[in-house]
Amino acid sequence: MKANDVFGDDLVATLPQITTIGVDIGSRQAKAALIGGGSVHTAITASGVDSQETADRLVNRLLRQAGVTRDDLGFVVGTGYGRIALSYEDVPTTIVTEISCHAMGAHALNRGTRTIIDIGGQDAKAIRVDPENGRVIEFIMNDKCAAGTGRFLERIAELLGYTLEELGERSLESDKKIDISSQCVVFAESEVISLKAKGERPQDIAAAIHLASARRVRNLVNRLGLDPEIVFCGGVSNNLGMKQALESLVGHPFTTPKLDMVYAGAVGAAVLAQRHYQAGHA
Amino acid sequence: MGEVLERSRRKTSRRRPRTAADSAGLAALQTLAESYSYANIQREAAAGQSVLWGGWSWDSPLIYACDTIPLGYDQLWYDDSRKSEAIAEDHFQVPGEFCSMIKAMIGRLHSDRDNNIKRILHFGSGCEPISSVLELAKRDGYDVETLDTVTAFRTAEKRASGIAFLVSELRRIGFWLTGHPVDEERVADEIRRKNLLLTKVETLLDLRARHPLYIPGIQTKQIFMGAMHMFGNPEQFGIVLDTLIAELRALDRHPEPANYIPLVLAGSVGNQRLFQAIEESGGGIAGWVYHGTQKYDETLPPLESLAHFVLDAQARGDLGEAVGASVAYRRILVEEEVRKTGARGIISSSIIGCPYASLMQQLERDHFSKLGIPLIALETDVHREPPTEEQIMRVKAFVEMLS
Repeated sequence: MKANDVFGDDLVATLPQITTIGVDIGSRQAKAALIGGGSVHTAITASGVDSQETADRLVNRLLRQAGVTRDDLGFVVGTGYGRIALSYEDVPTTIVTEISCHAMGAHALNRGTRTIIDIGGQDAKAIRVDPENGRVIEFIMNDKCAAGTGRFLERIAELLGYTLEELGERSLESDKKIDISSQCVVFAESEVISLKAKGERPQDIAAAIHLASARRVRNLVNRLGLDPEIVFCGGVSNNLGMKQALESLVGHPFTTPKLDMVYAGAVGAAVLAQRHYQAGHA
Repeated sequence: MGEVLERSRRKTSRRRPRTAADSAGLAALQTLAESYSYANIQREAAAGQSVLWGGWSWDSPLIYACDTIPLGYDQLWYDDSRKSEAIAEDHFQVPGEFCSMIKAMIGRLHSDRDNNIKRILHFGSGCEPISSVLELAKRDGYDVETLDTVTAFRTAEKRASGIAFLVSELRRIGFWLTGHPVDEERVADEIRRKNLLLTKVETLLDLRARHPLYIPGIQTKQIFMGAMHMFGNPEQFGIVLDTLIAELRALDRHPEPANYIPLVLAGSVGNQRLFQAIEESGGGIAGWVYHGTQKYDETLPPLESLAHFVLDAQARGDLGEAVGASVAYRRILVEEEVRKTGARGIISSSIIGCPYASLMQQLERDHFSKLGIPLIALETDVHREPPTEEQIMRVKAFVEMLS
């Protein structure tokens, strides 16, 4: 994609003419973004056991896509839970937390972003962002409870006989409101099994699960305050059922940037890599 | 160790240590802290030394005056904490979600019930779950004494009858430890000695505020703990403090640009790796609200001085739950520390499952949000394993946000 289409002319004008890569190794999926030559390229794969190997695979794929070589790379920023393992001897590299990368990514992809809801494989975060520069103003994260996270939704999809992709779509077909009372993943799973045994339709159970999970995320986000524009990032952002449930509870529609927001962290890392290069850290 | 220190001191006078790795004071602190271990003190107890669990905080002058070494409760979870926790959950059926410190205490006291440190002193205003742990410990043959107290949340509420009651309690404890009335002159001597050390700690912390990375977080925590229990070796602790003060003064003579984000830490961080995460991310703990450095009033009769000290600490919020201070007070001390150090953010820490600290954190979060001072709330446990990557990320993201 053309960088100007994805980021807008203002941001692109501030970036140096150099190729950088952001690598976001999440708990379930690894994403990477390359900025250079006036374009943005992205790649995604399952997070493997070896973060460095996964990152290498993504980097090579991006270099091929962009038609550049490793020597053209000016800077790499690593982020995500697998970031600590990342290092490149031949390319200047630094590590930045996914909080900062998501903030910068959401800002780059939608300049007015003030609030980010990021639900990944194993946690949920809410981030307030300075719309002027994409810096983090405040953040809060729920890493103690798996309810609503990608891992939890995978398990529920399995119980309902759906793929993860189907879970969100099928929940939109629901026409019956069911209450899920459990706040805990383990109990919620038991509740799902018991609802199935009672003959409730999987679509209705899926919708109920999304609403219960969204309620927990809404409570988390409320502690920060909800300034529109709100952007939904992370692996779960592609789940239509969760998006709809969150929007209805939050009371604001989410802004949809031009790029899949699963890449927000990687794009933010690539933009920060541009900034590091610009600052002479290479 | 004295000889090692002397050699190190001579070296220090010739060459200013540039980094913490060169520091003779930090090396000596580490040696001293290692000497104050459960295993070492147990050996001393086996050789006839009077030792008790507790009595390491504001009451330590009385305990030392009774020729007894106070052993801090933190030694109960310093090692084998997972094993102790499992005993708490399996044998005592303590719920898994409960405070890891309490579980480690109850489990370790139970597993070590045949050891020779059998006396425990508890201050009645302190943590209520600890009182319950000690009630259970009595079943395992521990000799538990509770120092009952009165509460004065404001200095104006400090009544003569309350002081008199505390003094009588302290006399009772002295008799329990020695079998005869406590020698109050000895208590006065110990108060003077502790005041001298507290003055040194205060000086050191003031100097450290300008060089927060020279004495890293984990060693600063050791100094705070030493300010209370003196590692069972007050003289050696004094030498360590003098060495560190000299090193920090040397740094002061050749100031270097501050290349860290100044932070205030409220409470303690249970896990060493989190201190490292703060410092690796470019944060420096310039101010710390943990144990106080307030002095005892030497003009008062010694036991009265101890009684006034504890009630004054309650009124100030010093020493927190250890003296039964209100949860509402720590934020005042934190705010003072932020102003004093020019800190750009606050790390508010507590132990997971601690009702006292979690309420305190909520009050701090609301208070500093109104003041516009960024704060991050951390919850840790007492185990020595590395913290989760999420916890480390939270700390690093906070420092990134401030940088």
